[in-house]
Amino acid sequence: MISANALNRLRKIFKNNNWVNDDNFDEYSDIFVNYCNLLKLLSTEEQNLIMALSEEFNHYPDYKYHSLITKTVNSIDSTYFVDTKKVFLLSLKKPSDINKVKSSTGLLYFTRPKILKLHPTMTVECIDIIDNLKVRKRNNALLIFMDDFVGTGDTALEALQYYRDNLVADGDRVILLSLISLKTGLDSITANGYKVFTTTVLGKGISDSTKITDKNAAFDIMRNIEEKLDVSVIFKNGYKGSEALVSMTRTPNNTFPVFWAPKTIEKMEWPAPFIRR
Amino acid sequence: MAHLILLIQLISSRGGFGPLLNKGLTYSQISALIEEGFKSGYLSENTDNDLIVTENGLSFLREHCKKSLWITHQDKYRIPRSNVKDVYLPELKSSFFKDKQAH
Repeated sequence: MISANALNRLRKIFKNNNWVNDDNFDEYSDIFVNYCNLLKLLSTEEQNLIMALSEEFNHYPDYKYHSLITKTVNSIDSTYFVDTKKVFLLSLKKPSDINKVKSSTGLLYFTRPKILKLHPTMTVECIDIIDNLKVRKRNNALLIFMDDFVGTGDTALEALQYYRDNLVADGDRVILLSLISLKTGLDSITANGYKVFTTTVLGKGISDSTKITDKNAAFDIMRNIEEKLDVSVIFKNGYKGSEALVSMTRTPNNTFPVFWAPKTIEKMEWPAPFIRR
Repeated sequence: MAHLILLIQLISSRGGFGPLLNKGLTYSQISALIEEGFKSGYLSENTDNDLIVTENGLSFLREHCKKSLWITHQDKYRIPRSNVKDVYLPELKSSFFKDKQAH
């Protein structure tokens, strides 16, 4: 059973995060119901931690993507478009995922008209499979690698390394666009000499929290919760300890698994509010 | 209305939501009721962010639960008041004529 105060706090989280419109809790019913089912499984101190983290949680469902893309494109320094006539929009994918359809694929086609609106004289081409870049003529082209989310930065750096090893051409200028980014990933990519344009930079959920004062206790509580979940060690506190609090069209595995893991260690269903399918 | 009264009763007595859940309400619907309680000025929060019933809420309770705080009106059993000139047809099983009809 959820106490009156816990339910009231959850109600406020949904209101303050704009996860509910006009007090219609049915609009986010699946997420709300799963939150309630999740809280019912937790002790009071576990509930308090999950709700403290949820107060800082960022949820970007598909319908928010258009405005995020516009903001990201508008944030590109206009000097990158000087002396350039051709722009290539590329999916940011690991070399091993080159032939897979990823969330970045769709983004390219939504982003193209937004770039053309700002720079109508440019030629903008979307390239989902990076190897196709080989057969494209490019003179001083601007290459924009794009994804909806940058977590640790590993995927971006692998993709850029692949480009450098196999596809680089004289005069290429390379930038990255990410709608939402984790600070750790952003720092890692920037340290490798690349410029990233993004709308929102997120810190670590517990380590960087100003609200959670006893961080060791918070990590202990989270460890207790995560012991119940069917996730491998690398996902403890989110992929490689990312401690992310974000859900996009698909929840990144950088987010604490309590929010997305589908199963418990006993292979029972876990009522994750932002389940990762 | 009955659900809102019960919600305020439960909060004023620091009870759980069991009675509301037993009536078939979901947590989403209870949240919407809490929202209604805030908007009507019946509910508020103290400095520890705990839910409390306001003076307004207490008078609302007194007004609607004059006999006992623990027994609320069961709206589903309420029969609409009839007008003097309304025609009333009793059910056959409770009718005086039910035995006569067999003849």
